[in-house]
Amino acid sequence: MEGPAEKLKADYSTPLEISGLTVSLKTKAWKCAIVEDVSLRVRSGEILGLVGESGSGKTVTCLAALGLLGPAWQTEGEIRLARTRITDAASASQLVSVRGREAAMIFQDASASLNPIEKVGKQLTKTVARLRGVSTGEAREIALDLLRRVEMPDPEERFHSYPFQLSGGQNQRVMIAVALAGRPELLFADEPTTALDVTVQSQILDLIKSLRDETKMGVVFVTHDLGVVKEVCDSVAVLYAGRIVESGSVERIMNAPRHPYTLGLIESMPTLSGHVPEGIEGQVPAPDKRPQGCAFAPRCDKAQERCRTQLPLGARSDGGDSVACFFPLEGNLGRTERPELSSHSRPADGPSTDALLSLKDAACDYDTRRGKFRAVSGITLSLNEGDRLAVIGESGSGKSTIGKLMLGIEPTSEGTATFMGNPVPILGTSDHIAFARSVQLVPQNPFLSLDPRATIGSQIEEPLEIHGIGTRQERRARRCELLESAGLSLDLATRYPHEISGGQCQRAVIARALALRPKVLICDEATASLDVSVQARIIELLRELHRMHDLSIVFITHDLRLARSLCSHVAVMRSGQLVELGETSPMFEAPEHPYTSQLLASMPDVEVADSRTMETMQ
Amino acid sequence: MTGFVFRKLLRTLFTLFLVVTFVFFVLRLTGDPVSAMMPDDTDPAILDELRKQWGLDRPLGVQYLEYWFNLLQGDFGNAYRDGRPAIEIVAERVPATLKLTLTAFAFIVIAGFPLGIFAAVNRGTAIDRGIMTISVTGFSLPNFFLGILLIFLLSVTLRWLPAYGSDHWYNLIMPVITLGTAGAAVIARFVRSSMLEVLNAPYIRACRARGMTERAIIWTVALPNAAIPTITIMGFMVGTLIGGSIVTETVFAWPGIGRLLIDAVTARELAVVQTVVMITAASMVFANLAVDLLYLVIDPRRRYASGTGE
Amino acid sequence: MAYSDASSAFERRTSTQVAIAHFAESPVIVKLAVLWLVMILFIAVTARWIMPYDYQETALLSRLLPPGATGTSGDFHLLGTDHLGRDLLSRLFSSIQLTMLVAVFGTLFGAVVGSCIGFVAARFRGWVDDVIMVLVDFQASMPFVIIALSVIAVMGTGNMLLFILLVGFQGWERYARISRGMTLSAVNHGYAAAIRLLGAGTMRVYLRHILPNILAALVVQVSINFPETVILETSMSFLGVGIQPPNTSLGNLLSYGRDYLLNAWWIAGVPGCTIFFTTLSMSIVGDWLRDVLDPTTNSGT
Repeated sequence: MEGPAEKLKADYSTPLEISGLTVSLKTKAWKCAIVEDVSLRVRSGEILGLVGESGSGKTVTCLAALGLLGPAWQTEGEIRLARTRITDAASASQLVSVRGREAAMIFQDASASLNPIEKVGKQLTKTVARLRGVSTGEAREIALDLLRRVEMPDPEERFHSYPFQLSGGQNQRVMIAVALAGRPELLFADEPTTALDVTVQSQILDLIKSLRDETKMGVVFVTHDLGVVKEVCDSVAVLYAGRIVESGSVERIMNAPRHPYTLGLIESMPTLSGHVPEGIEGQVPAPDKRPQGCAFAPRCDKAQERCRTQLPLGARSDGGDSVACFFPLEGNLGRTERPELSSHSRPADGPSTDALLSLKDAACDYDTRRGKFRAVSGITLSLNEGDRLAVIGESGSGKSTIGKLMLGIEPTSEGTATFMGNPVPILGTSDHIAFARSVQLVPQNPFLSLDPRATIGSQIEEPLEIHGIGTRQERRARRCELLESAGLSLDLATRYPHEISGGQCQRAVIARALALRPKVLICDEATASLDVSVQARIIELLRELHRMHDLSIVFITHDLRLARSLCSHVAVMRSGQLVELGETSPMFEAPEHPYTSQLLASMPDVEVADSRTMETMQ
Repeated sequence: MTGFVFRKLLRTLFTLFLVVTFVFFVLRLTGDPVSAMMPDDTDPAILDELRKQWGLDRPLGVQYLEYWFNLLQGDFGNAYRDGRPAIEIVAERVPATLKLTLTAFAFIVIAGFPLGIFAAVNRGTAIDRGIMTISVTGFSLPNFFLGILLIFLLSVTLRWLPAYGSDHWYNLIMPVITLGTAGAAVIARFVRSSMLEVLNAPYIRACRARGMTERAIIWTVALPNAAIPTITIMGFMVGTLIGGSIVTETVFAWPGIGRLLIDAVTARELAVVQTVVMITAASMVFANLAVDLLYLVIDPRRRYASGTGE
Repeated sequence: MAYSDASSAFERRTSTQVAIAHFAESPVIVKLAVLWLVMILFIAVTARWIMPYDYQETALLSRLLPPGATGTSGDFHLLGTDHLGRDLLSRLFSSIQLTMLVAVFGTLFGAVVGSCIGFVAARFRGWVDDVIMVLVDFQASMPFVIIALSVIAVMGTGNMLLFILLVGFQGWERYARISRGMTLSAVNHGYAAAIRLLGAGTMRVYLRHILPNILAALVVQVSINFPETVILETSMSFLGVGIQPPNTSLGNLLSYGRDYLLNAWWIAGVPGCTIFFTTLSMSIVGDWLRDVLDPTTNSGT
């Protein structure tokens, strides 16, 4: 074969080799590098974790390797996929014969990555027939077999389902089956489990590992979650602002990170054993505003003059250890345990005189087109002053409904919701206005919960205005106070939401919620849309606010690690039922309900395995 | 699925009921049909006599029920001038309009779809810009002006086609272009944006990742997905065509119900007007029903979401 | 998910400056379209003063003069005369005035009424919403011109106010649908829900937060609807059921001209082109506005 795709002698031992890859977004007027000078190598049977926060260029790297970027992108550098060398990536569209056969890819949103109007079995069959050149009849058999191999429940029946009839996890299994159709030597997995529940995630991760063992294919596993990396990967490459800053084996990186960013990232991860995450100050620079020297220098507390002007030699992920830093860290990760937040010890479900907010036998029905749907039932729990209660569960467990009951967004269908002895008023009634001063919400997506056409300052002031608190000057003064306590600089007050970052938006939302000096803050997946280093800083903020302002917090989350690091009590929800309720540390150490143990076991964690290795080492 | 179809049928019947009610009230409440039809200087006694004769002096409710009763028997009233049943006058004009609108519909589909697909596939190129320019021009061109332009060009200047007439196939050319151009432009635009949306969908990227050729992706994956929402627009086209046929038929002296309607409005033949309105409304309502049912057939998501599923 | 860091090098600009900057960057065709519309608006406002002759004055000796001809009485006719010897330029100005009057006021009327209806539906939900939505569906399934014609059939021609309202009403259901849909989605998910939880009253949420946010979408809809209103008005006048003599709209002019295609094509050509260029310009500007005002293309990274 001539042209850009040049066939090489089979080199099964390293199905992917990238060196000096630079990918830029290009228009007539400007050109902006998203990924710079990335070098990677994946051996067969190896799972390489490509880790980084949003905007670090990890997905772009994978798409570039398969030539899947659009015409606005330009790639330079050398890429070799299995037997094919791509010398001129600009004509990568000629790579059609390589894709699916030598390297395949699975995506984050599996349900959206399948043709919505074709049955999954048919899509799979067509792909098998095309990639393996067999008849439709044979392809059907192979397709069914593939569905069995990805451990699809009832494969014969699911074969005739449309993607929208399957769950996210099942769709991801289909995607994996499709990826296996051409017996690739390399699999790119782009955040394949990010959108899934933890229990499903751990099944998919196990599946990917066992398929790797079976087929000996190399895997590039893109993720932002170091816990997942620890679970599945053999080696890691950490990306920051488009460059690899550090690479090496999983054990080495997790135990003795050498780049300050890697350390920061690990420190940002909450753990099941109660590590309190410490974030990294500042934000990832936008691709067109990357600094001249080391991109991490502005956020690095060890940075020196040299870091700001010179670029350290790039790290290469080629099996050995490598770090792009002038002053790499030495030694093992030393954890300084931070003091636990004080909390009165008490059974969370017991009758309590000073209960602020409580639900008693509460149930909630939603009206749907097919009649009533009971979202939660028989919920009894209470929040005392100064408590930090985590409500954890997977999607559809009814955890958000508990928040809605507490906020009066939904009325209880059975049982009661009370606040300081009185029933929680329903949103829209006149009683609710007074209630709103005591109980406030921090919703999941900060960007959506701010009015796009009003300034941050005016939105923080708005609750005071609504409740007629203070004069104009007093409100202005309070606004500054709030901005400060939320860790925002005062000049952000005149900005609009789209002009500030996600973390700053979430801080603004928290400031707005605090304006009325509420007693209770209900955080509904308040950090789920943020990067880990930013999430850690928000958690820090919440801990501080709790300490300073005598605030009680209900923290609704799917992430048990966050619950562990922030909350004094935990309520575990499953299919609308409360399965376990109690204090955090005892429950995490010895869960009573099997579902709680299952959740704990499924949660990828940077520390569990860590302490294990430490033990074996000693 | 039967439940869904039943609901849709109910809705269709309800809309028809609304149409009849609307027509009744427009005709009876916004003005007095008798004084509207008779010359201004008619003797009041005669007007009263006419009102009594037509039952207009009775309570509104009674009139309304009687109106329904007559309609259900196929009695749409008689034309004022020659006393013939309005339904008969309208019925003899229907074939001409059908011939015109159906041909125009075919023209819209045949011209609009390929243009839209072609533009989407060549997004951002000169081809795309060219097609979009034609499309914007097409639906900004009022059809009466387009009709006159065609007559001026093809009949008056070049003398290729007769300006009027409806007996030969070539008589259809100018009216069909006049009637269909705006619709074809709208369809082209819609198909293009629908295609572009689909081509940006994650599943298209996934198809590329598994080595499908661009050609196969466009024809076997993108097009079927992009075609689904165009059904709604095709449903709207029925209305656009009926509305447009009024002007087109007038410009080309085409003997259809559009021209009949204008003549009836000018002559205040209310019985004819209401018959045309109801026939139009009925065809629109049934077109919408057809759209809903068509969705069930081709879109599995609707099929299962509509209350049948497993 | 990915929030870009727009804050570090952000320049503060007022919305007027932003609008001017956007316009300066727009393609030439958009500038031409705006120029044409400005000219049409200028003529519409000043027609009374800038028309060279009385648009109703007939001169039987100067019939069907070609553009640039001088009549028997020594009058110069830039665009020629019609079959009654009336000055075409004056008639054109007068027609532009009336057509724009109907289009502007009609469009505004329809936009305000339609948006309010949608707002009401979203605010009160329940049966109010059901009734409005049935009406909206009903309207969407009937060609508007048929409804307009049946009203005209009963009320008779020649009532100008009724005609403006009738023409303007065209497209109300689309405004209703947009304002209802956007209001509902704002109330249910994003910022509006957050503000309600702060204890804000309904009026505050609707007027201070939702309205400014859906205004852009409504403005885009106006720009789409405006050419349709022009076409509806001129069509009806063309058919003889709209503006009645002695008043004249572009549709009337075109309709007279069609009998003289063979020997005086300009009588139809001039008003026809005027309508066409106006609707075309409006469509071009509308497309451009949609790109500029659409938040998804505007603030996306």
